[in-house]
Amino acid sequence: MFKSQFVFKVLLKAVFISLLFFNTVNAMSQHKAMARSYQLEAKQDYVQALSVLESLPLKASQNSEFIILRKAWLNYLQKNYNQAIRLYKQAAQLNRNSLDAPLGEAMALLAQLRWKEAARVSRKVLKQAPTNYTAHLRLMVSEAGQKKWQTLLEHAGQVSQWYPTQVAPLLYMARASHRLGQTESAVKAYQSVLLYLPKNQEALNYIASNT
Amino acid sequence: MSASIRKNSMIKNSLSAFVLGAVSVTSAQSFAGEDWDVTAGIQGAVGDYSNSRQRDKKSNYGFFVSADYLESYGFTFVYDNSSYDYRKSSDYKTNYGRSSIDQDAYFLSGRKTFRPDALNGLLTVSFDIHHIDNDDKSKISDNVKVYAPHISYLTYDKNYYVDLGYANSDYYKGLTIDQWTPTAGFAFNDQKDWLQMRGYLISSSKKARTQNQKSAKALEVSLTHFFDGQFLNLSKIKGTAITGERFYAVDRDAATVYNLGDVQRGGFSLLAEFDVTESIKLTLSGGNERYRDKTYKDDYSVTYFYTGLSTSW
Repeated sequence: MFKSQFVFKVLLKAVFISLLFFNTVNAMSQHKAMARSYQLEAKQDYVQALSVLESLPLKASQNSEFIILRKAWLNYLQKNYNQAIRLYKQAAQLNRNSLDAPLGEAMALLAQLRWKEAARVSRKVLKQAPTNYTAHLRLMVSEAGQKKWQTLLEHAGQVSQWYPTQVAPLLYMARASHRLGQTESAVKAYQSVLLYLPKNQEALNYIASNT
Repeated sequence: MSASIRKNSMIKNSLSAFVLGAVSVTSAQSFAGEDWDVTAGIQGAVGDYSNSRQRDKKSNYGFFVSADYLESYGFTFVYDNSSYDYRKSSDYKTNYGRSSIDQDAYFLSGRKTFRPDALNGLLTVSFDIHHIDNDDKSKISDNVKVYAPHISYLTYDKNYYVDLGYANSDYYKGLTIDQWTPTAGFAFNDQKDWLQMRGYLISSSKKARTQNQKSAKALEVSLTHFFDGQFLNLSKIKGTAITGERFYAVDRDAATVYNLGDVQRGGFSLLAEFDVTESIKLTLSGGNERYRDKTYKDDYSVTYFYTGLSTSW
């Protein structure tokens, strides 16, 4: 009896050490895979960057929110927008508090010119985080896509108040003002843009043509 | 008889029309919400047939509503009432004792947009149905049914467009018209300009009913320039020219069926669209088209003027 207990303890230790070993190897494999993926992305080889992640063990990747988000991003870069949307939704299922996942989904929807759906997703984020800059940016792109110039002008003006160091709201204010026939306001907004980006061609061209 | 006056009612490209009555606006607005894009309006046109020994004048009015859900699927409905006047000395008046034809035309279209990753653009399939009912005593232009499937592709950057349309039209006593319309368009000058070409390939099942012509071919070329609305709130100007021949043509952009049978032998038109406000558009259009009616040995042209107002939300 003593002998069988000893054998059992040895076997248990062996199993434990094996599990620890494989988990460590697995974690190292994941780290290597992620590092390789980043390297390939930097070279704009998005297909291979994604392929490296696809070769990870399924168990490791299918419940890893970060890996799913990364796959979504790499699909977006390859213009596989439907696939990106699917993966961003999958990531959101794993973490219902995530803002990155719906913002990624909105980004892919905008690429597909699905303005209203992107606006809907962005507004959901804003319910959770009312002053989230990226969500407001997605919503401004949607408003521009729908040509809601008055709405965009007011929205961009508000966002510019919250984020005075950001240039995108100023650009949208300028474009919306121009579309509404408010040339003076558009010139003012473009002049503000030049404070941030002195060589911005859009601003320089507009000011040159309208002053 | 020409349905050319309706030619410029470009529904999907924001035809201008003004919604009749607050009631229709209110009920349409409650239907809209954040997920729907709705456009509704009214339109009218007048035309004069010069050099025609048969035809005199034409007028029409109508309304339309178009709605899209989340930029993915939608429908369009158009109703048009037209009146075509013949000259008192015309053969139609002599044969049938009447000098005008009153017509109701209905158009219904359903569409769905797909965005397959492999295509990097929007693939839209649609199906149109036209029905025309009039009091033409000869019945030649009456009770017309048209079924027209259509597929189009637009790149996400909106620089290139192609489509292919087919229309099958049924006329009185078994006349069937088949029409294929391949189209290609592209943007240039920083997307301030758009050039589009559309071919019309038309064939008839009964040559004797189509002025002894088994088939017809035409090419429609249009050039559109877009403005920022800074000059008189003008948003675009479009010039269109048609060369070649068409009979019983189906014009998808105008939701129009040319059900009168005369052979169209070319023409041109000019359209201007104005943004009255962010949501109200005014369209003015005019043009001239040449026709030949071999039956009555009548070569003529029609000059028309079109106007409409639309509101979107």
